[in-house]
Amino acid sequence: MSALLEVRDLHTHFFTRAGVVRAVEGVSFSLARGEILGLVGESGSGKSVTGFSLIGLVDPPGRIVSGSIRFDGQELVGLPQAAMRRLRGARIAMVFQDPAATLNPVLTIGQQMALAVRAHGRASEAAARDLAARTLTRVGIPDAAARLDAYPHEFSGGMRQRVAIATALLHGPELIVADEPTTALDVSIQAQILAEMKKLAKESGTALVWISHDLATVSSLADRVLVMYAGRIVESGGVSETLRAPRHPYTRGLLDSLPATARPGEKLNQIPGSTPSLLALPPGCPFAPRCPRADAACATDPPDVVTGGRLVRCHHPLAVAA
Amino acid sequence: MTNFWRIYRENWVAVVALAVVVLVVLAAVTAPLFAPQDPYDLAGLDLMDARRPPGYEGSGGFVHWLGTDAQGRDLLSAILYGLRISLQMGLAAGAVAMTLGAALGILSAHLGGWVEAVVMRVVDLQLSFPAILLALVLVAMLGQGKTQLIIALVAAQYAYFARTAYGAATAERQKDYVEAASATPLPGWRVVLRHILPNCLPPLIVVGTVQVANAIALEATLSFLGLGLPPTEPSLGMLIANGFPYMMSGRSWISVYPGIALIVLIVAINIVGDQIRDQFNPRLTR
Amino acid sequence: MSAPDRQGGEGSGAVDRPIPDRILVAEGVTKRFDPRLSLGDRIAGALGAAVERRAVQAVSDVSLAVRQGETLGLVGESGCGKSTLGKMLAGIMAPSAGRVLVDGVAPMQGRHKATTRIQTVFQDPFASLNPRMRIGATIAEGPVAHGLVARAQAPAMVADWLARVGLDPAFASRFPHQFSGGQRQRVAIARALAMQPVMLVCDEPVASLDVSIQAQILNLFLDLRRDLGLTCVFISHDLSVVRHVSDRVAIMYLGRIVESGAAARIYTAPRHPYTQGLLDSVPKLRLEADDLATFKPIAGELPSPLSPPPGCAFHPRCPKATEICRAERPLLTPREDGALVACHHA
Repeated sequence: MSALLEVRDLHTHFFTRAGVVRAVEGVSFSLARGEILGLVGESGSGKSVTGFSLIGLVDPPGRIVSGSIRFDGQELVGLPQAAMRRLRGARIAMVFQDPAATLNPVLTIGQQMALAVRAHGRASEAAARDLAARTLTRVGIPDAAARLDAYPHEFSGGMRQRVAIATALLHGPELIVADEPTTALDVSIQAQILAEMKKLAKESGTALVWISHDLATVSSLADRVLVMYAGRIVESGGVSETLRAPRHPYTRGLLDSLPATARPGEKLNQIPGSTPSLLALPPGCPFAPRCPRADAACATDPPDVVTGGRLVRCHHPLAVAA
Repeated sequence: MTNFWRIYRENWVAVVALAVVVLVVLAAVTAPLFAPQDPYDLAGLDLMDARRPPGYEGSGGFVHWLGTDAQGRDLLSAILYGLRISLQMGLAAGAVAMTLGAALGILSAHLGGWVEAVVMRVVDLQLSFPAILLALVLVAMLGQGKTQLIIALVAAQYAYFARTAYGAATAERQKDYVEAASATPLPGWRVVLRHILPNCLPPLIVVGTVQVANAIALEATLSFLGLGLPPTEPSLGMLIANGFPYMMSGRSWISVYPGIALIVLIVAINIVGDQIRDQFNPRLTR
Repeated sequence: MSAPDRQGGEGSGAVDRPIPDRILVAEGVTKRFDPRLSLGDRIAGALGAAVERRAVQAVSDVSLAVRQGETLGLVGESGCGKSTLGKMLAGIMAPSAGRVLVDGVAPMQGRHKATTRIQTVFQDPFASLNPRMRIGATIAEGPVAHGLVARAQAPAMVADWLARVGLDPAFASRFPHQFSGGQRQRVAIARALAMQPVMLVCDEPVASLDVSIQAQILNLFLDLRRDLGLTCVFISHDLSVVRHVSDRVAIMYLGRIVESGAAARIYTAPRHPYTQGLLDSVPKLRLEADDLATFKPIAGELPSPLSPPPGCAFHPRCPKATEICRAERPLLTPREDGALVACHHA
């Protein structure tokens, strides 16, 4: 099985006034067709920058410093903007957290979806509208043909996000990168969208990179999970094994931080301290200052420990519990 | 503050502009110490030296580097003393207009209701026609003199500050920290003075910088038209006006040098103001 | 000045068991937002033109009571009025109708808050602290202004509170931008508690924090609540957070409480179809490979508060809705297990 997406040792840095922010530092993973990958981390973990790197949308002062992103055998790092644009929207699509930012307020939904259709291929006005209506129906918008003439402000937040997802789906992309797509939505609407996404990925064989801070969402949607901390992957593996028996102390700490995993009213087993500044990371494991298992060894870069499809980057990984 | 200066330093144009402003201010303040001549001392003037070109060595025994005017005044000295007047007027008018405008704008935003409606309508009305018109009318009514001129300049300019302060205060008072202060509860005056006002200062400082330049230009315009200060206290505008009749007779320096001084000062202040605005704009800071 | 004729109940006319030691009572609280008319519209209206005026009723006829030492969780989706209700309880916003009593006294006099007995912790710690004030001054300002502490003692009080919320007392001279979000929220909590309130309203206090920081703040909250015997209203959209901290929970939908009761009961045996749907919508941590996640989302969209559906506001999305739900609004009525539910079919 050849991977659809193959990321090797990706480094994306931001060259700011205050210094170099190493937002993504040596990230590697691969993604098969039809697979859903959850990219989990807190703010500043580099999960969003990783996503933007995949779709070639890292804005200055940031840039991909080194590494390789191979999409269906084609190298994306260093690809000219024009070629990247052709790929984006057609074979790779993205969905952002704030749908209002992706939709043009002065065009009707139908107009902007038709524009998106024609940006990557010839289609008559009628054919474009028809495709738009069918795609909107697929993401669960009732009475889609009639709503093509509505403006974005006439839609609720959840509906707008569906439109954004439908626009991403127009060309039947092989890969969708979704950055916190349900974070701004209410629970009942989030559940609807998660259900639609899961169905779509299974039906169309689209691979999905789902970037989120929410472990529960990822656990109910993804096949595999990557846990990021301070720009690095600290643990990855099948979603249920990883979350049932995490091997990295950070993953353990994240799970223990969720009120849902504790008994009501009892103190949570919190991670002490706060996320480090990416400007002045000490050498070695970036999690060491907050880690209960840290010792002198953690001042050096932790090794990749690979066991049965799972990876953990730690000097003292937790034992795989029965 | 050190951080502010570190970023400011990156724009060399702004640094040069700031240096010009500082230099001009210093020169104006210390003018009596090194100006070759006291241009207000009529006894020291000699009509024999009138309208001499730059570089002429006059009867006073020193070189008139920028030439002399129709009364035989050394132009360099006149410009230095003129800058004093112009800066005085600009700063005084700017400071009073800022205080008055900020108070009106912030109170309107805080009190709301009819105060807001009346004050902001008046301000809008005033912003809708040229400031100089109002200043002209006021000077014509009040007569000449420093105080009268400052009143006219303030009346022409406070509206900009009021608008800016009102906009900033309206934005700030919707923020949670103001709500938190009111929810403590803290008295209204305290919320205004300790919470809203300090957070409205950055845009006011930006507008203030530019408005000082505008006040200087406005004062020069009024003086040029003969409506500003009395001829015994010549500002830059009056110097330009004095030289105006000789423009076409080949003695352009009498108007041109004060004009250059005025332009350099105003442009420099504006560049400094732009840089400060850019640095206060959170979207541009990374 | 409590209302002796009404036992501390919640719901329209509903009676809970008697609560002698209730700290907070809300009776029939309603908040209507009238759109501000422009000058032109007002003139047109005065001249007899028909000016469209669509008022939004953010909170409708809510009654509730909070007992000494208890935490009441207020849950709902965006636009359900939970934050507006919180502001009325905290004395930040005056109700359009009904009344709020904190310790027997209305928290507001006219447009201004008149009590220090109830304090608020806001959602966004990046917005709720004055960026140009040192945090020591931020914490000390209220207590000094109200004479709760002498000016000379203020630095000691600030140091004490900083230590109690887990910050270095030396931080008092720093500005908010020198802190992370979690640290700022600690400062905001210290500011509220330094006023020695009998009650705290927390409006989404952890919603804008990262998971690991959220856990720290929740732990801090649990510690302080135990040490100080705090009474709280805890507002959140996050059902698991509310469950973790609350003794009782009230679920809101479109401005009304649809169900309330003991937290443990609501989460294990929800009675209102909306509560059931909400709980089913929350993604669960899926730990078994074969435990395929199934979503049972609530169908449809939140209706616009500008034009709420007639009858039961939830009926267009409700699987159990019948004719009566479309015609008649169900009242919040007590059930045998002490729960209060507003549903014709539960």
